[in-house]
Amino acid sequence: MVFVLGETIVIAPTTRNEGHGKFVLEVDDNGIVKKGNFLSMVTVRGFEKFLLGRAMEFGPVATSRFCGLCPPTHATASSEAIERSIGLSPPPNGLLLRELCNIGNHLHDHPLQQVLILPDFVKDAGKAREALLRIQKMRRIGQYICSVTGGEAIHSPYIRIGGMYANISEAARKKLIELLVECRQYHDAQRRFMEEAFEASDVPKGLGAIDVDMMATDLIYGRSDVYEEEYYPHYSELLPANYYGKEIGVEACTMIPMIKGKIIEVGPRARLWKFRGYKEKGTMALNRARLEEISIRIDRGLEILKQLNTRAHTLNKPVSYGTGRLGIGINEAPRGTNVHMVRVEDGRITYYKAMPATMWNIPAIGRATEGFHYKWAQWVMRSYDPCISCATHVLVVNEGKVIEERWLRPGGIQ
Amino acid sequence: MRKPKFAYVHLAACSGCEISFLDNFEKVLDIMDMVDIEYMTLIMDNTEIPKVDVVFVDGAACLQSKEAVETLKKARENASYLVAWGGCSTTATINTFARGGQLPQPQHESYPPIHRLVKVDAYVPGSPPGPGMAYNLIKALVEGDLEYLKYLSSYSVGGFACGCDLWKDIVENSLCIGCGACAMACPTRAITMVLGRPNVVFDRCVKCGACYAQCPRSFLPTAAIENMMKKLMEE
Repeated sequence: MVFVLGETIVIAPTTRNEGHGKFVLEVDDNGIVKKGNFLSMVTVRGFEKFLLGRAMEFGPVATSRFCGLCPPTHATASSEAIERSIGLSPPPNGLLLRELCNIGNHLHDHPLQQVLILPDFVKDAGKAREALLRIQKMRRIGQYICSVTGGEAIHSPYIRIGGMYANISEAARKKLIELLVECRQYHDAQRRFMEEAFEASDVPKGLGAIDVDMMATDLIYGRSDVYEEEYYPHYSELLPANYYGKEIGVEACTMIPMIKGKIIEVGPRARLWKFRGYKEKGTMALNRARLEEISIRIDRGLEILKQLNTRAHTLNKPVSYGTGRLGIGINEAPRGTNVHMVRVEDGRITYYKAMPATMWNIPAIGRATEGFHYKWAQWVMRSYDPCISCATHVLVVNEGKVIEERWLRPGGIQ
Repeated sequence: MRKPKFAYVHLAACSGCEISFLDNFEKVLDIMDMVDIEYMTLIMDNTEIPKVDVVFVDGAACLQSKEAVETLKKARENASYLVAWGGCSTTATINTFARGGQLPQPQHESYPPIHRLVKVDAYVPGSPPGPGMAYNLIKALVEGDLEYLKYLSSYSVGGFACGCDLWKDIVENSLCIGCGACAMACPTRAITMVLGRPNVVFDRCVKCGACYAQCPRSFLPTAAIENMMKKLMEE
């Protein structure tokens, strides 16, 4: 629904994205956005608070339920944060299997974004239905990989502290190779189809092209040490009321995270920019980057399946139950860098903080709508594929001006 | 017959149940042939909940959010048949643990199962439920298969749930046959069978109620069991 309030346009709820979002856009007489705000409207379920005092094993189980689109990334980042807090490393084959589980998730989730943008680019109902069928076939394979490696496709229970609960069988390994090869056929056809649709669309040139810093820790899986060294020392966050202004910000449900006092972008474009020298900017560049990422993930999935020893053990048992040291766990979610931070003491969680990918992107989405007519705002938003349930956690900033800054380094890294 | 209209309403939840719905893959197109999907913000642009024949409610309404409670009320008013789809609306599941206090909305703390706010016609527990349940349920509704819907519409499937239910209602009433269906149903693998009876690791239990709903013995009326016990004491 679009409400026009003087010079302010409100779009709520936003559609064809996960969860409840809201745009509050200041526009000029021609409808061009002067100042764009994007807000999360999902109620805060308070995971970081209800995890306190619970057994560490509950961490991956509960945080996996942040989000049903990308549950493995949360279970993975949570497990890794706990592992780093208690000083435990999974065995090499456990890590391979965990990465494969996440790749399965990306192969369902990246194509899902195409379902959401399909009505924007494809008007022919017959062609849209064919595309939908191809996408669902790819998603089936992605979810199947995830359920074989993780126990379930949604909220995979085999992602455990110390690795993966069980290895896969040799027969499963061979079957997954066949499926990935099949997936590549669907993707190649679908990629051509989407690229043609992108070419033919009337999206204005330069839509969503913003100059923001970008953050990525890895091309595919995520590296905790990279985040800890490159980004963590420069982290700060703001309350939404301070970023959006009191009137708008009071109902926003995420904090606004910043690196070096500035908002940043994470996700496919950031990863390809950092590790593949991808220089394009804007909404369409982001949509194209996501297509490229699917190809990269299929290749890596096959590589892992060739390396994986299905007879090796995949789970290491904890030798210590924690002394309250801060552990940072990073995973590259489909939407970008997903950060979990935890302190574990005597097997219990004493501190928990999560900064999922969309939380980083929410302020960038608002800014990316600026300079174009407000009717394009949702196109910009969908290219980021925001997953608002995930994001419902964070703080805010006002146009680079930090109004309230709270350094979140209780005791620093020990 | 007129094609039934369908709406999918999303409240506080992770969207996993929505993905489970879409994980019917090619069969989603069959669902679209059975019902007209009129409202589902994940995949379409309609932003007002229309009058429909059946609504799936996913997630719990936060009592501290007027908007969430209004949405739930509207979903009930506009639908003739309301399905609590998935754990968070059926039993509150992970939301059971919420205790508020988190920035930036520290007042958000209560997420009861939706049957405490509105009348629910059918419950589908699970975190998330299997994709097939969406297809089967919609098919049963369209075909008027009341026998299939009977169990899902019984109150014992909804409301607060926990692995304890198995001990309290099944094992304690000597109903357990050791089949292991509960362990198979558990989405977090919190249940293993020890000495032929369920052993629940509570640190993994998310209170979704899938185990109890899956138990083939949870159908038995407790009144009948109490009568049996009474007789036992009289002998």
